[in-house]
Amino acid sequence: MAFDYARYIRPGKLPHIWCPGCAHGIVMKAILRAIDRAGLDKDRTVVVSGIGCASRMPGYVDFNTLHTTHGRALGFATGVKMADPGLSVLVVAGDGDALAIGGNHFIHACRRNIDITLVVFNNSIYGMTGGQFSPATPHGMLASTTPYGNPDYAFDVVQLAMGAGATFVSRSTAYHVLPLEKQIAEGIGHKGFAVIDALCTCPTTFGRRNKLGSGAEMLLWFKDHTIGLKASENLPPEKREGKILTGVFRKEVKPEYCEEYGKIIEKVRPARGGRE
Amino acid sequence: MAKEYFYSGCAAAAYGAKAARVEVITSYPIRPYTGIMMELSKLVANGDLDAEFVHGEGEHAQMSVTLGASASGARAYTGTSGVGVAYGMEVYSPTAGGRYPCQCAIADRALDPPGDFGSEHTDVMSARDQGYIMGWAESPQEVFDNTIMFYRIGEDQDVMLPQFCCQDGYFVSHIPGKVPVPEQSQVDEYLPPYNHPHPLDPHRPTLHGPQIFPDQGAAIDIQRAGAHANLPKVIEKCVKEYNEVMGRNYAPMLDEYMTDDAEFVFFLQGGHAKTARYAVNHLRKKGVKAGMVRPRFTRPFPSDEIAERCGKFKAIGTIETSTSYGGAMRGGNLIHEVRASLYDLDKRPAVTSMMAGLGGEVVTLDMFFQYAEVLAKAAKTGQVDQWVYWAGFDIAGWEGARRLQF
Repeated sequence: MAFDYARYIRPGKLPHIWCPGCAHGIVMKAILRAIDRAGLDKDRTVVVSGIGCASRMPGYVDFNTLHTTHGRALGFATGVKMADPGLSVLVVAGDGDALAIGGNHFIHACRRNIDITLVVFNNSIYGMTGGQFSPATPHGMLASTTPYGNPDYAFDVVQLAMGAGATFVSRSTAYHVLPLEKQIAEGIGHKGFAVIDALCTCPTTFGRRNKLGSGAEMLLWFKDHTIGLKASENLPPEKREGKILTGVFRKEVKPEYCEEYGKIIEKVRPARGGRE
Repeated sequence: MAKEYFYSGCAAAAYGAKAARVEVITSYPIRPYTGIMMELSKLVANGDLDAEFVHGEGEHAQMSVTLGASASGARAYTGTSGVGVAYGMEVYSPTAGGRYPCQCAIADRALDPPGDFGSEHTDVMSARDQGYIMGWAESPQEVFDNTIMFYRIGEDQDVMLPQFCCQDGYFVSHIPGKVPVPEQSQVDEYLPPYNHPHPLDPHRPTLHGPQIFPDQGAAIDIQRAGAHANLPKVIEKCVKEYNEVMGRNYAPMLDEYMTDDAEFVFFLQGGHAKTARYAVNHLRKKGVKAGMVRPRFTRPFPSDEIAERCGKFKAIGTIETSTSYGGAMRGGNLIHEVRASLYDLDKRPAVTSMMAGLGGEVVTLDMFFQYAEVLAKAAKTGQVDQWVYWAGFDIAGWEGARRLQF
């Protein structure tokens, strides 16, 4: 039976603002299926975003949603989760939002291991403002502010998240929709901070400038340039060269932040004469 | 000779910065100012402008890089819009207090919530008291000219202050207009290279931004205030010279239109002044003695000029393109300072305000005409019925506004 997206979309909020060929809709649908698969209660689920193309998603979906300021989605989401740890909290952010202006919140959410699921809509560019290079724009690629190639090197979202202490870290692409959906569902079910690097396409401001073809061609590029983590282990180094690894890179059990915080309250409150 | 180009406000700012030979540029994308940086990044990449181009990871970083560049002796340039202005806020006081004469271009934009791309002056008006020189341009040409003029004013050794070089988002930033671009030699003659008296230099180490004791604070503050006190005469000198070198005709502080015999004037800053001029033309045809006064600077506020030149009007109506929630006049910002500037006069005009142009709303001719009726009545009676009117709401008789009961 076909998936009932209408159950999760706010009536009257479509059409969306995304350009033709943009993969954000694919990632959004993967998130909706993952939420369904994880069995979340719509009324106990909060989707938080910052600013940018990806951040428009909460406007379309029928949960409790919070559209906040540029880069701060994880900060707002931390407040939501701390105030009511029983809520399921998802954050959606673009690469500029999550890694540049919100980079500090990103590493600290990883470090705290707070039970939030972050999906990075990683299209390698600031799309909404006109294709300026972001911290995820690969070295040498063209952007409106690097007309002869980007001198910076990009963040590897997976390495950054693992280095900062996130306990669930994975990567998939808008081409690999089924693994993507599965990873997001797994991230939602994981107790702790989960980061899903969802590689997607911006044919309008990134693809066109770099002559990467249509949105569909850019998706096929993902097919040809990625290898699953497990498959890569058996491959010789030359076959792994130039390929992006996908899969679940880390899944470990570690104390979750809200629980640790609760333990301190439980320990200290009776000693200070407070309520049990 | 000057060549004439057709530039948007964003392009005019970029070419103004190029003409000013800026040395370090720091960007971060946000609409609508980002067009300036897209233009400048191309100029730098093509080798047409010898400058470092740094892409910050947010406005806070952007303002910090700019301060650092200015401290090391470079002519530094940055810019932002809307919530970006707000995010950079922490760095404004250190920049002005440290007396770094860098420039921050503003193409203004409404603050959240809700997310709104439209022009509104509230973003940078919220930063007006940090010590920056600040003023709005009415046209791309004025954007170009102000970019150069503001550097000259800010870098004057009696001033040494940063500048917000402002233009209305979209209305000016995205609508092209004619810009006569002077020869580089003319600009060089007007604007000498930036010369920080104590730059950061490994061979002559200096200390910038030290922690101080509380009793040293006032002594530093009064110097910043003193620099602002010097501004009117420096502005007068620098604008006069600019007019001479470039063949322009800018008033230093107050741009007046049809004010010689005006009974009342619209008082507003920025691009909506263009519409105000048309409104005045139409009103004059009907025999209404209307005029317009446009401050070219918000900081320093032209108090002396207002006291000197605006006391003769019977009524003044400020057009408030920014908000001051809970403020003394319950609406915008300009009315506070216009009223205060007139306070010592024996005979004071009636002063009221109209909230208009918020969230990107177009201030229409109709709004000016409706407000003109309010002002004509005030001119006749010498009194105002309300401190603040909301254009399209309580003037136009929108039913909902009645229910809101301002």
